[in-house]
Amino acid sequence: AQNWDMPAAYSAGNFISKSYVSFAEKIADKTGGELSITVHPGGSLYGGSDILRAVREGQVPIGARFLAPHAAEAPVMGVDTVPFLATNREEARRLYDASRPYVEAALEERGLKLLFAPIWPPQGLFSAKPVSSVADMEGVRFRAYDGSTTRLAELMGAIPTKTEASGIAQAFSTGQAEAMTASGAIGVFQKIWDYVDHFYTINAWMPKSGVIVNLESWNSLGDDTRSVVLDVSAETEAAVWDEMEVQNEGYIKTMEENGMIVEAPSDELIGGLREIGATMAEEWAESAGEVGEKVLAAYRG
Amino acid sequence: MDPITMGLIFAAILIAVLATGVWVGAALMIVGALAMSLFTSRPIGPAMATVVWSHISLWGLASLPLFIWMGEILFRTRLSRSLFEGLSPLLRNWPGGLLHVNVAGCTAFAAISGSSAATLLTVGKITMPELKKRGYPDSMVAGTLAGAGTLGLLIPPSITMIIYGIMVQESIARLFMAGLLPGLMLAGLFLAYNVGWGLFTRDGRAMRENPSNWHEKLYALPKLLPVVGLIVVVVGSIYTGIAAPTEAAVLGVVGALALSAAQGSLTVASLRESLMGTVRTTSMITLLLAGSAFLTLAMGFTGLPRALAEWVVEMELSRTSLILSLMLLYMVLGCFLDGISMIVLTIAVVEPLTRSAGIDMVWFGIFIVLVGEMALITPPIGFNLFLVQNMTGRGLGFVSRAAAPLFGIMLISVLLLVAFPDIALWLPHALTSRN
Amino acid sequence: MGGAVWYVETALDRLYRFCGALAAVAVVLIAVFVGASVVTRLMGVYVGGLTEGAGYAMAAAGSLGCAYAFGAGAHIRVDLGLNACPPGLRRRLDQFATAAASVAVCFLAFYFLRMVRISWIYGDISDGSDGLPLWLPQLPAAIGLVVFAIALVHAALHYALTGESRIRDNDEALLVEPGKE
Ligand code: NA
Ligand code: NA
Repeated sequence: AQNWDMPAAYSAGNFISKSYVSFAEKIADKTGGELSITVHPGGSLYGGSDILRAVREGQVPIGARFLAPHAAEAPVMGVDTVPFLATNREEARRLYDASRPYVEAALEERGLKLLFAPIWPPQGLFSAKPVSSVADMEGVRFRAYDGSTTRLAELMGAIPTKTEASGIAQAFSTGQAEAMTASGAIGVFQKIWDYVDHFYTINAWMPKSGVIVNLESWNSLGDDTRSVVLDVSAETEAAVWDEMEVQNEGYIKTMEENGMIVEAPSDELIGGLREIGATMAEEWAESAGEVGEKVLAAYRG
Repeated sequence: MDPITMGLIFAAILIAVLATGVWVGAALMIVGALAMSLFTSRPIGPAMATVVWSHISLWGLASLPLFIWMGEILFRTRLSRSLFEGLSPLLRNWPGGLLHVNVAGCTAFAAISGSSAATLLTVGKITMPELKKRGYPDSMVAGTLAGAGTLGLLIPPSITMIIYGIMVQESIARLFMAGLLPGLMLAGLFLAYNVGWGLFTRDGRAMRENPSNWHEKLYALPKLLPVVGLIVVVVGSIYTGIAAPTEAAVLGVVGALALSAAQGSLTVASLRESLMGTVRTTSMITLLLAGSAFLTLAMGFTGLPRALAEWVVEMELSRTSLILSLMLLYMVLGCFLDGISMIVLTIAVVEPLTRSAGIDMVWFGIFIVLVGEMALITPPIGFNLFLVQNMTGRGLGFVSRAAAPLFGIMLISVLLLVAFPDIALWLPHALTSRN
Repeated sequence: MGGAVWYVETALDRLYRFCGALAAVAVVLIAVFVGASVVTRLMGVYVGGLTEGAGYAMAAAGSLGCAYAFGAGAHIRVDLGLNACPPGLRRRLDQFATAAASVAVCFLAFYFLRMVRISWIYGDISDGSDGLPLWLPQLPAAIGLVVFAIALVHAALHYALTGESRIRDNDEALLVEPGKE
């Protein structure tokens, strides 16, 4: 019998962290205790930045981590954060199917195996003022926290304003930031209606986490245990993708109940954003080389 | 093994290693390594390197050396002397006298800095030599500084609240609002402690000096301007959004350099000395952080804090006894871990229970931050005790005893918070009442 | 023999002070990165990597200064046990503590270097907006820890051979114990 510690970066109450707990429970149950997994959510064992490396080195056998931050090492891991490439669940699924072999290959090079990839709710546009076209973003202070959000701000004609996640409330309440892309979850947990009035469901992108296991640890499991883990992985993945939609509706409802104006983007706005998205997708494919071309070709079918 | 036995074993090992005089950071590494080798099969060295790197390179910590540097620069100017010359006519005949500067200074500084270490080190560097020179007893100087330094975490901004807010998915802004009144209340109680000392002890009564006349007061006021101005500028930069709380420290450094230059105290030698002083303190803290990060990881692997929390959870207590039991649990854990580690290691178990007991999570955040602050001044592992120890050159025993009455005051304020939850909840409710 | 030891010890002390000076440069770098972060935001420009740069400089400052801070008596220890012992036992215990700390820090320094090597081999890149290969910012911190390990071993050997501690009392003590003044 083996006992695995599983670090995860996001808080215990989050629906994705809860899916890890149910994943662990099912495995313990179906393997008759042959494999038990202890989930350590909220960065209580390792913080997000350390998880992939900790699993790679066998400090822990298994872990869960956002894939996109590792795009600097393997650009294909960032395909799910290319703006306006996949804007609903069906598209996200096709993009996942198209990119999965390449993501798996990139992970395998690092001694890792991808078990499943839970998906996060889509990124909307929070704005202090109403936005009806991309032109309205001209000169707006837009929260940037990485290369991609900076580029997005530039292409919209907005001013990229560096804001760490912990500083969102301060930035908006002092007017240092006036707009940002984030999921409805951030809006609800940060009670963002205290500062921001508008939320547009532009569904810019839907990031995924990856549940990854160290290959040596994986190979140390018996065949039966491995097939149970794979079955439970597929089952959990399907459930958490369904749950994402339920949660997203819940976030939107909570924001509306608290007085925020939640709207679908105007045709003009979404059209302009999609043009920006097309530019960024090309730039991404260029950075990802041959793999990038193949993924986009497979996705666009 | 049951968690209580396991906990006692760890406590015994930790105390034994510390008692031999091994430097605290190294001692924590040794205990963490022992814990991992006894209770887990995970590789120790790679895990140690990973967490030490990620904890000593945190952006959120970068303000700490800057605040320390600010204090070191001010320490080498005539500024602290003129601050005290300015305050003396106002405070010298009050019970408690200039000791109030420790508390008021930490309260003001807490509005700039999210960390108790930065608060304590910067304020202490300015107040301690002056208080010593004026003959205030070491135990009062060291004790009030160790206690009031904890305000850095309760009065916004606060690193602990940011981490708690992320862990339980609550609004950090509301947590900040909720911390303000309890922070001011605690500061008030600390001031009352000084007053009590000034009224009811022989030492305290002896320190009271002749009252000043209004002429003297008026003449003294301008001397306060530089320091007050500096604090106003830095606080202003946070509330106008020019600087994130972590960034405000750099304005403090620039301001301190400017004041120092204006006074003519800024020389190559004083600049070099201030930097080397900053390096000594920063390295001291880095070693402590490295040790405590690794011990925290080892505790996460052993599952001990979580098991202790589960043990409390399984008692199925009523709401009030649950809160009091958690308070006791965190007080015991707080002797060995710092506040943030305690929260991070136990919250996954504690959160569902507190939510289902109908406890407001914003209130619980303030409660846990306050109890976490108490951990800063309880031996054997109390961060503020170590900092005061470093600053004063006095031993842990002396500093712990000096801080003990302030621990009592903090306990009282936790109980007040439990009895009157609105101390925390009224302000966020009033400020966000449009919903 | 004695001359050679003196020469080596002087060279080592220079090394500790030199690393301390590098740490001071790193403190200034923290201020530069954080200051640039504020200024560029006011100018409406986004410069990636400033946040991470401040963190890296913090790690470099804290580690590179460790050996120097150790010599100056700045690191914290619990002296209740030591003070309770008679002088002979106290010296033994002190020697033991120095040796034990050496072992712990050598262990950390070894695995830290190993981590830098792994970052290099795998070509690990920071997941922040700096996009730097991780070994680069890790290296100064590793050097600081290695020098600190050397300083501890040096102190333990010196203590074992001469019976004298080479750690000064805390330089900065503002409230000194009665009788020591
Ligand atoms: Na504060
Ligand atoms: Na403590």
